[in-house]
Amino acid sequence: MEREDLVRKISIQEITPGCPYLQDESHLAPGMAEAIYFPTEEDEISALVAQFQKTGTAVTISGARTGVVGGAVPAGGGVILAMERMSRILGVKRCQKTRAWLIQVEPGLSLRSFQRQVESKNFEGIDQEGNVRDFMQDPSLYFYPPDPTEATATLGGIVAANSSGARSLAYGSTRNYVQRLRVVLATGEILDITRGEHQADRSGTIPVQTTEGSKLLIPIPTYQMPAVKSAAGYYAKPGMDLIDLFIGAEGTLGVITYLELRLVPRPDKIFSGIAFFPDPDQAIKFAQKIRILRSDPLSRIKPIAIEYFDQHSLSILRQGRQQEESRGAFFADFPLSAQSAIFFEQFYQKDEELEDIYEHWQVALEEHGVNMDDTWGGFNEQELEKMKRFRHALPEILNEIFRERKRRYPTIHKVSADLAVPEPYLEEMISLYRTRIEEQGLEYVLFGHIGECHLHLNILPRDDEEMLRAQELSFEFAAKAVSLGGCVSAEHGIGKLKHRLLELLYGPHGIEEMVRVKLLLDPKGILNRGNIFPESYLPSLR
Amino acid sequence: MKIIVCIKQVPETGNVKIDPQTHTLIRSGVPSIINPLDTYAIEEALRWKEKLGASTLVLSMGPPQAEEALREAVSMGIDQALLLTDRRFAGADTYATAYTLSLAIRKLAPYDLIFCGKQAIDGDTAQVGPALAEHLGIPHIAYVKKIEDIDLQKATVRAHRLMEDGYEILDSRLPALLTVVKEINEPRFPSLKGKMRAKKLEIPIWGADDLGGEVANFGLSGSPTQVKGIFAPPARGKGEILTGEAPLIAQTLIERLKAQKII
Repeated sequence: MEREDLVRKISIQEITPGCPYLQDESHLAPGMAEAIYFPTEEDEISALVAQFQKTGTAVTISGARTGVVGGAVPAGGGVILAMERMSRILGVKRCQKTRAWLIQVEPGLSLRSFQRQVESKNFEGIDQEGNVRDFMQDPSLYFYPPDPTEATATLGGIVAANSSGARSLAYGSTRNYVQRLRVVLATGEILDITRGEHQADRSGTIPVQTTEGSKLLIPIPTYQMPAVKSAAGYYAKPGMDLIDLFIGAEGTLGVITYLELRLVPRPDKIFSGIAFFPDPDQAIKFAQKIRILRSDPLSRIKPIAIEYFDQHSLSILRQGRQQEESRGAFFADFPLSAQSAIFFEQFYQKDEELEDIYEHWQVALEEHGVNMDDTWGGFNEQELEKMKRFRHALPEILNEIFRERKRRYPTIHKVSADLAVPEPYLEEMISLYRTRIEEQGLEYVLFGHIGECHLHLNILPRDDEEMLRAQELSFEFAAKAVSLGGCVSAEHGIGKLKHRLLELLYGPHGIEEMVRVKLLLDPKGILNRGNIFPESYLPSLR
Repeated sequence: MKIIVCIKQVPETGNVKIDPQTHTLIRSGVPSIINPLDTYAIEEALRWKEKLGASTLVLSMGPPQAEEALREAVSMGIDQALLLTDRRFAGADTYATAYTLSLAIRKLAPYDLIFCGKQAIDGDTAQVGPALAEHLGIPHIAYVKKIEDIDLQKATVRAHRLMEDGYEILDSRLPALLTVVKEINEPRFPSLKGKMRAKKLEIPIWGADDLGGEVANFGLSGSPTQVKGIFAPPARGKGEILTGEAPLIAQTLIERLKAQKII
């Protein structure tokens, strides 16, 4: 029996239209698949992928399907490779250079489970010997900083998307914590990439050898990435590390089968809060001030996250709260006068620091019209969790609103923009959003990672006609962000829904450069077909 | 006006497990919280403080760590806190608890109102509030879902008492004790400022000697009721579905019921 025949499989007869593997958290219609495979070992994946390469069968890699741009939707048919059975923590290592702890893990493990096991130093199902024992006995606390909102996402998916989250303000995105990857290429061959071992040479090529001995010369794209948070297209920089090409490649270059993720020491004290501003603009001005104070050595204001809520977000939250009240309020009431709000979170080491930290925040907040009696505070995980409920409730309430609107207009959905701009242009961008959307009389909310000048704009169309106008506006905003040196997708990725935006950012030439990399590693374009660039680009360069 | 709020620290019930050998609650590792129903009493005190002006004090009898619960109440906006802790208070039932609290409150007099939560989520008796009022010799209204008015001039309070089939509107003279239900309000989130104040606030601790009274009336020795045992109700076994031909199923069923001596 061949290796691939041993893999557990669901075949086409059993795949019903409502099958969860055919869709993700995006509004993209469910795809189709001939079979779903549930591999448990790398060599199974290698054998399967090599076989599909021969037949030219499309392969869609499936994690927890929490993406919002359709990355896991098998839009063009073919087969699905579901990674959920590869969810073990395999071991612990010390980085030879930095002595940092590295956790060896399979790609199908959820972020939540990974974080819990790491923070409690309680690994399920592995022997407590050697490095594992040393790690458990290390008295310091550690954590894995990337905190994308969707903690059910898998580690493989998170790396493929280079996810970030609120804490990326201080800790950066997933990329910074990936030390080693093993990747099965479309040919079935395997690349074992440790950070620091394969860099681009002066000609812009990365030479590398697969574990089977094939030599590859990977040409890195020459476009310049925007100098802001970005999850749009392949990572490309002179002298770059090969591992960075695969992080954020949305599964178009290979299947991640093994990861080594770096932990960092965790300060155990938390100072967090939500401040409510009586004016819509004060939260924006406050965030601007905090961005300056963060880098001032004299200031004790050193947040790891700053999140913004505009007046529309607050009114949606209030509305959702009222509806929810019969089921028991899910977050506390907030001042009626609030016109904007900021969530902030800071770590600190010693109790003696707290007073000082509080006073610095108090001065800054009061300068922007905040009443300290109305400002929520949290000094531990449980209280922080309660505040996060406030933050996470917004998308949930919006989904609820759209479930209702879809009854009347089945094809409408919220139109989201995930744009980041360089700091000097943030206010200009916000004022453009407001003016253009209000001119058109559309509903919207604006919220998110204001510390990194990256806000989530959701336009909320009420009918099909508004939907079209919202889409036009969102394209207009993306073009504006590009003209200001910003990014068209700071966090969500490109997937199957943002091809046009990627073209805006890098132009056809930039996309062709990405396609060159893609076809070198995946000549028939079988892996995650439709992600990042439209299929139309693939044959044209073959 | 002076308002006293009585609270209890309880284990977060979502996590409570019972030791299979000793049949007692396993408290270690379980986070402690303010009894959720008491947070409504705290909120109500704060609302009347904001409306009429009042000094507020939160009181608890419990082990030394109950101080955390008092600090949390202060972080919500309560002005002062007082902890009653002494080994001699341990093992108190509702009677002894109410007695102990009453001695402290007599020392805190004069006061206008005492707020308690309807009941604690661990003991579920709902007796301490009313018993405390009896010990103090003041009127009480239990299950209050709304306070319509407090008239300080006339020294009266008008409250809505929740009943199974509606509510009663009751007037009482002050001072009075009110136990509140969760319909009365919605507790606020602790403020950052309040949390800072709570961290620093000196919380006095009173023991048996500070209260006076009969030592024999405190704690276990002062408790007319005693817990003989605690057990978790046995888990319900898995149901069984009989399959096959109807007459055969009927026969099997009859045999089983006979075997169990049900028929």
